[in-house]
Amino acid sequence: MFSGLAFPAEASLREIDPDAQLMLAFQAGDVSAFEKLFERWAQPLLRYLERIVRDAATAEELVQEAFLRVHRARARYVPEAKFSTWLYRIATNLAFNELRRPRSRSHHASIDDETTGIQLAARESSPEARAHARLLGEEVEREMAELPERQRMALWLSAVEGLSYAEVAEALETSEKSVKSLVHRGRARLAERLLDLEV
Amino acid sequence: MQRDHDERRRDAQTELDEALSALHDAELSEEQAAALRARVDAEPALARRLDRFDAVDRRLRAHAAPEVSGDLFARLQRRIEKDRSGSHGSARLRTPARRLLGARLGLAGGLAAAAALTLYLALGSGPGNDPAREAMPGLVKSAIVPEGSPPSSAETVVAEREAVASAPGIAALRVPALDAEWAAASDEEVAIAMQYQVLADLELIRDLEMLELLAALEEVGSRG
Repeated sequence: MFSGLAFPAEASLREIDPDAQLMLAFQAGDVSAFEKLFERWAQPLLRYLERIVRDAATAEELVQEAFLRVHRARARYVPEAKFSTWLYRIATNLAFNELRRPRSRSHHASIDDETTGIQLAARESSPEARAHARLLGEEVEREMAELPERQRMALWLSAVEGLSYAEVAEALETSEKSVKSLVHRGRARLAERLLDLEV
Repeated sequence: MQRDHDERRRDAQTELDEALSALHDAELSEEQAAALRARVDAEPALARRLDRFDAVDRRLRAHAAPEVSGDLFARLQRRIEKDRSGSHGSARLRTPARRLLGARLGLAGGLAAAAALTLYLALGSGPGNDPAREAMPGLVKSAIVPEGSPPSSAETVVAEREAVASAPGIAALRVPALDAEWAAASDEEVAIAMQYQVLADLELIRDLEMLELLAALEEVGSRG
């Protein structure tokens, strides 16, 4: 797991990352700290995993699995990176495993692609504008689903979850340079799709 | 020439677009960001591109994510409990499981070693056996006919038998070494190891059958 970084980085993370503090409290025996971590991170993790595996029920199973791994790893935990980065790394690996499974469910019906369109469309004034916004939302969703996994993961973690390139690189176990390129390629492709629809 | 020029232009364009994306994510250094912003202010096409990136992100953020089920934490706790009791269960079952493993591996290892020794002694190790030896897969080759072993004679059979019994492939099948190695493993790990061991034994037996066939062919050849 995360171990072997220089002491100052570890020490400052202990001080500045409230989640790392919670994890250390949990390590010391405070069970409520684990529940707090779950409360803080289950929803963002579900949102991320659902975007990647494209099935709400599977995503929820993976959230559970990710927290189970955190629970199992508590004794070995060393705060070398932000807790959230570590959690996203666990989740990403679980998502990769899920996507590699031969009979991985591909899509879910509960939260469909149209919902995003509806959400954005509701903000538009005229019925025409709402219909158009909905169409754009659906298309972006569809195009997002077509992106290669790593582009999808990098773009989502950066654009939606707000992780820095360094954090995304940590979560995806790659370099910052590669993340920069992955995010750009994914975003550029979606931007092209939007442009096609608006012309 | 023209192609090189086009490629360079495309690369420069991609680099600029990548920098715009990084600017949008606030991932450029202060100097880089200031320089690019000045360019964006001067070039409407770049400003439009940046707006487009922003629109993409807004649409992604508007994605309606599923809500975490109200009982998810309770389900997680149940899984954690199950996880704990599962490992305790393993500990309680460890001794009988080890005994079972020991017995099965002992039988499999003993049979394989006996078959290997029998075949080795039946085949002998004279010069006529070299092609067969060369054709043998690694494990059987090292286990049955150790590299560099001298041609056997009636007087050296016992010594050779001992050498064969301690050869890597055969030694690996010995139960005490495995048992010690896997003493700390969980029952699941032991079960997986057993599966592999059975496969390894089957592989060995298959190899021995091949060896037998080669020996028979060689015998036919020497008669001819």
